[in-house]
Amino acid sequence: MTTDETLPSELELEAGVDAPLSDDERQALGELAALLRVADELELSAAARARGRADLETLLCPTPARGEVIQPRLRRTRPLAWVWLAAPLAAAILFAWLVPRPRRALPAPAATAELAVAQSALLTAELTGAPVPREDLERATLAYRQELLATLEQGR
Amino acid sequence: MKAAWLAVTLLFLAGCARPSQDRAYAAEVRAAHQTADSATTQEQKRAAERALESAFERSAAPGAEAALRQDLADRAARLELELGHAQQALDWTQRGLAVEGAPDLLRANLLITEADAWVALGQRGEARQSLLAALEINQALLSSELEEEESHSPRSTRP
Repeated sequence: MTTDETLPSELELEAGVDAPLSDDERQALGELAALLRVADELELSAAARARGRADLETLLCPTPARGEVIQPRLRRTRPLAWVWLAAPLAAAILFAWLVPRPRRALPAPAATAELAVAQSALLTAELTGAPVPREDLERATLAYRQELLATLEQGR
Repeated sequence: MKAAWLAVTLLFLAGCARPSQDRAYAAEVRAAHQTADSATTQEQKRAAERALESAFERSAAPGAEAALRQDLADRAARLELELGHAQQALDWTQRGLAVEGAPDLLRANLLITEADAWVALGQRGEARQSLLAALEINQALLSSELEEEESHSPRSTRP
């Protein structure tokens, strides 16, 4: 039996990559492993291995020899961001946009001061027995409320 | 991979949905106050209080929404006082005072309403305590307002 006849001509995937090996496949792979185990007998010479290694190093990480100029277009470059990095990056940007968003600004100082003054007048009147300016407080509260609502409606 | 993109999409949608939620809440609060404005009969006032309560319960956000919730509680307490329910008015002021993340300004309003509820219950001493607490808040607010006004006004040049 020659080696080529022992190799599977094609691999059929059934129900995904985790499909169990059939007996035939297991036998074919076992024979392939046996073939690899005898690869030491077919080992290349030291010079050939050194040459192959040098070629590989040149391909993977080219270093300019003395006087040699590497063309930038020929240099292999790594991508700045892979797709699988882009998703978390985009999520982080969105998270930064969403989470530290400042809470709604409170109404303008005009309404705040008006309400505080109305409260002061009412409290002074209540505590001294003077006529209580209830309408002033209601008007100032209404103005403050309108500004609060405008704050929300305008998305500030 | 798909899950990561799904999460990104959901975050984006959440960010887009927030302003519309704010507007919807503002519309609900505005409608509740309008119901209270137009309420004249007891039944209408009860309906208005239910609308105010619904808006009060719907949010727990700090800032402007918290201030609006305090205002809703104060309005509901006022309605209860108009209906002659002093104890319920007192309960509403307590609920309003328990709202966190709101400025002190409307807290003073709630204390003023609380004092009115105590008066209606015949507890003048408690009413005075509420008014004094409101006064303390009010004085601090006025002081900070004055300080802010002074810091923004142009300095007078001395010869």
